[in-house]
Amino acid sequence: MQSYRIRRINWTDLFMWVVGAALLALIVGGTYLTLQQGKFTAVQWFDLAVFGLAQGSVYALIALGYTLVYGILRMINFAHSEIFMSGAFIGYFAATGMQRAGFMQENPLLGIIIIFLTAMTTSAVLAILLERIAYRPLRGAPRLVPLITAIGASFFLQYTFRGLFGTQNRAYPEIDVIKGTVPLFGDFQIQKIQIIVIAAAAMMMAFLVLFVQYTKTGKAMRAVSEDKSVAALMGIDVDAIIVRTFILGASLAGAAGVLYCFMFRIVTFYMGFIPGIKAFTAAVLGGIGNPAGAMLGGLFLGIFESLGPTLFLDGLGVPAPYQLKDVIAFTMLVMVLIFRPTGILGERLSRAKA
Amino acid sequence: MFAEVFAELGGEVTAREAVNVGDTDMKPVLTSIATGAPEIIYFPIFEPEGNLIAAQSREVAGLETVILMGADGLFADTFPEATGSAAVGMYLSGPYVDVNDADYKAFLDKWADQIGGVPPSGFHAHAFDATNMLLNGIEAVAVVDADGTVHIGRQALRDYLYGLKDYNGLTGNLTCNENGDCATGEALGVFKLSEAEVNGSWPPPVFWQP
Repeated sequence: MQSYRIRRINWTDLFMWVVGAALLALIVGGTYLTLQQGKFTAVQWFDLAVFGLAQGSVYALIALGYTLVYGILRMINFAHSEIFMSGAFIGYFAATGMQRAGFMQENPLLGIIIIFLTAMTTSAVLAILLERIAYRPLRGAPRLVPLITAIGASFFLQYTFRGLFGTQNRAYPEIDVIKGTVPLFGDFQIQKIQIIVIAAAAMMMAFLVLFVQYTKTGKAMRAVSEDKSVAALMGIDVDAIIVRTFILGASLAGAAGVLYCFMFRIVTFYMGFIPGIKAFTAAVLGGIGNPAGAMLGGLFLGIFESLGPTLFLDGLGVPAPYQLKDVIAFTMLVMVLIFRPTGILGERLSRAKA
Repeated sequence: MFAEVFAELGGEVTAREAVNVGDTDMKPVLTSIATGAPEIIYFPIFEPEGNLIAAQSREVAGLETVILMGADGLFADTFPEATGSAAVGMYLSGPYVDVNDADYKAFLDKWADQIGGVPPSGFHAHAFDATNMLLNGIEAVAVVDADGTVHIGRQALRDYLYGLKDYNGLTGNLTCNENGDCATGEALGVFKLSEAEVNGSWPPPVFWQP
C-alpha cells in the first residue's frame, strides 16, 4: 500500500514545490534582512506602498479591459494597450489646449472632467471601430486568427499615431491643482495625484462591479460570457452586448491613460506597450475573465514592483535591485500560475460556474 | 568608472542604481536612493527615462532640492522642455565647441541657412568632423578601375583613418591612435540649465570646461 503511494509521486510537481519553497525562503530571508538593517523608515515604506498602489490602480484599470473582452469572446485583445495610448494622447491634446487657453487655471475641475471625457470617448470610439472592422468579421474563425489580427491592429494604431504625431516625448502640462502633497499624521504624507489616481480607479472599479452585477446590460454580458448561442436564444442581441463590453473596457483604459499621464507627465506613441504587457500580466495573475481578479492582480503587481526590489533584495546585498523589478513581477506570475494555473481568483470562478 | 574617480577625488557614493528602458515609475528607486541622503544624483542616461527621474525626484521626500546632473544623452533641446521646472538648475555634461571659433561659427551659419535654427543636440560638431574625416579617407584611398567602378579598400580606409594626424576639425586638432580613438577630449563642457532653456532657448550656457 505504502509503496503504491510512493510511486504516485509526480516528480515535476515535487520539483516545482522545491523551487517554490526556495523562492519563498529567499523572499522571507531577504525581507528579514532588509527590515533588520533598518535602512528604510516607516514613512519610506508607506511611500513605496502608496506608489505601488497608484501604479497598480492604473494596471488594474487596463487589465479590466483585457479581462472583460476575454470573458466574453475568449480572445486576448492585444490592441487594448493602444486603446490606452490613444486615450492618453487625445487627452493630452485636450489638456495642452485648455492649459494654453488658460481654461485649466480658471476651471481646473471642469478641465479635468473634460480631459477624462475626451480620452474615454476617443478610446471608446476606437474600440468600436476596432471591434467592427478587425474582430467581428472573424467571429467564427479559429481562435488564433483574431489574436493575430489583434497584434496587427495594435501595430496599426501605434504607427498611425507615430505617423500623425511624431516620435518625440511630449510633456504633459503641469496642472496646478493636482500638484503638492496632503499631510497625514507625523511625517506621513501622500501626494495629491496619488490620492486622485487611487480614488478614481477605485470609483471606476466599483462602478464596473455594480454595472456588471445589477444592470440589465451587465446581466446580459454575463449571460453572453456563459454561452453565446443560448444567450441569443433568450433574446439577447449578442453583437450589441459585445460592442458594449468593448466600450466599457476601452473607457476604463482611456481613463487609465489620463491617470497615467497625470502621474508621469509624458506622452509618446509607444507608451502603451509596457503598461499593456503589465496589465495583461495582472489580468492573468488574477484569473483572466474575472473582473475582480483583474483588479486584485493589478494592485498586487503594482505593489510587488514597488516594494519587492527593496523588501526582498536590498537586504541580500543585491546591487541595483530596481533593475530586477520586472524579474520579481514575472517570477510572481510564474509562481502563481504553477500553483494556481487559473490565477488567484480563477478557480473560484470556475467552481462557481460548475 | 565615474564612481571610482568620484571616490578618488574624495566623494562618497551613497547608492548605485539602475533602471530599465521603458520604466516610468522612478519613485520607488528614488525613495531607495533617498535613504543615503545624497547631495547630487548623477544619471547619464537617455530620454525619456532621464526626464522621468528628474521630474519625479522633486516629488520624493528628501530629494526635493538635491542637485541633478545628467550627461550628453539628455543634452537635447527636447529635454528641458519636456521636464519643465524640475530641469531648472540641473547640470548636463556634453560636447562643447567655443562659439567664437571662426570655423564653428561658419558651421552654425550654414546650419541656420540650410536647416534653420541651431543644432538641437550635442554631437553635431563631432559628427561633422567624423563625416569629413571619413569622406577625406574615401577620396584618398578610392581606386577607379577601367569600367568606372569605384573601389574603396576596407583595410586601406581603416589604415588611413587610424593613421590620421593633425586633422584640423571643429572639435580641435585631431590625431587618431592605434584604437581608432580620435577625439581630443577637450571639446566637452558642463552646462547648467535655467528657466530660459525650459522656455525653449538652446543651447544652454557652458558652466565649466576642461
